[in-house]
Amino acid sequence: MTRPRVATVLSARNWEPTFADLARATSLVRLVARAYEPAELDRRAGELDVIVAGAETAWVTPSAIKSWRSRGLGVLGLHPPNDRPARRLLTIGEADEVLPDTTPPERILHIVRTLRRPVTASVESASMIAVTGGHGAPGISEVALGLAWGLAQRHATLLIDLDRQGPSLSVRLGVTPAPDVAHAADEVMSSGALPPEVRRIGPLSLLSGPPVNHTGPLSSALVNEVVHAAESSFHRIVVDLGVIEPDDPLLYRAGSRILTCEATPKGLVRAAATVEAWAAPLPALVLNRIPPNGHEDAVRAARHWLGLEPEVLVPQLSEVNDAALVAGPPSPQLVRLLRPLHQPKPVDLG
Amino acid sequence: MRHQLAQVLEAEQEAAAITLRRRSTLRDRLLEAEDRDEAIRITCIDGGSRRGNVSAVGVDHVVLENGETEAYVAIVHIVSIEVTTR
Repeated sequence: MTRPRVATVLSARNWEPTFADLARATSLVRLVARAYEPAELDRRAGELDVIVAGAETAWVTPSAIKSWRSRGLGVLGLHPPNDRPARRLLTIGEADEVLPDTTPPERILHIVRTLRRPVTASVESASMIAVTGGHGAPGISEVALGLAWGLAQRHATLLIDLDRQGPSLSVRLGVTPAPDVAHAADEVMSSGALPPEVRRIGPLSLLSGPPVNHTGPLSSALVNEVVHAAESSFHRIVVDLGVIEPDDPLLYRAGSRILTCEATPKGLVRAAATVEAWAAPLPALVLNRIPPNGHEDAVRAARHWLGLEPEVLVPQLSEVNDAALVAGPPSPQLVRLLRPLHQPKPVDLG
Repeated sequence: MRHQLAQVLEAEQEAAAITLRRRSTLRDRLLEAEDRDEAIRITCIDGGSRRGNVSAVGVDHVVLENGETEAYVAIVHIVSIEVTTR
């Protein structure tokens, strides 16, 4: 029997250091990580067999547990003794084993070694595609919509509007902005699942943007929860991030990233600033609104200023504007042009 | 209310992370590298360096394998560890 690869969720409670010490002392398991933040587990998911998590940690939520299990990881959940809500949280998340955290570490270790990985596990998690761009409305939302619409022809696809500065997809599609991401986050935190009334528009499901009001922007942790929960129900998740900080955690969380750049001098300069500060794996580049007969110049400029080879070239299309004006589905031509992004290729810097 | 609770929980977890860092030793990091099957480069006090995967960690030494050789390095001689691959 090989030694299972285990990660713990770092905790202030006693079970975690005790378990880690015992794991190291006995070498019965390989302790691959003691995770301080969810991104660490996401990054190492492929190197793990079991996650040991305590319900006292804020980001150990039902949707996070479901998401780990959907990736084929076993989950052992621990809760403070007699803490019913914590226990319930682990049960809703369908942790493989739920124990009070006063259980002797030897017993926890034994269970970790014998834990069966979920039978229904799929090795690949749902693929999240993050769409962003530089300042100045380069067409991020339209690209996200066109991409999601195309993906939705073949896969259960959810489009999430996370443009914190100006969520516009519900207006773009002519629907009321409900349920929105903030509502979804509340629902996920209480029940572990997205609200049942997620809006269907054509082949697509939509979560509208968070209301820009006194509550301020949603925290990354809550947004992460919504994405986790969505992964249990959808095969593809396209997230319109709008203009973001280049080190936004969601850029790391995404399976692939798309940078939208308007093919104008101003657009290229703005995108270059974004690329310069970019810290996540490199994005695929969509050059948008290329002027007639300007393809070669635009590609050359993108190579020169951004150091990226464009994956999709979108010319100026009157039908894109027309579709937006009537609040209808995206232009079929745009949807077609964005098809190469359905199966993202790794970006080669050459 | 939820925000306050989240802040308290976050602070507790941060404290746990800091405590972990403060208590950890070079040997702990080598054990972690072994469990993760990481390729590392070790630099020793004499300025020499060795690359390889950690195949074992003893009480006072670490064993590095690089496909050809197996090197035993005294932990007290290590001045730095660099992870070369994940």
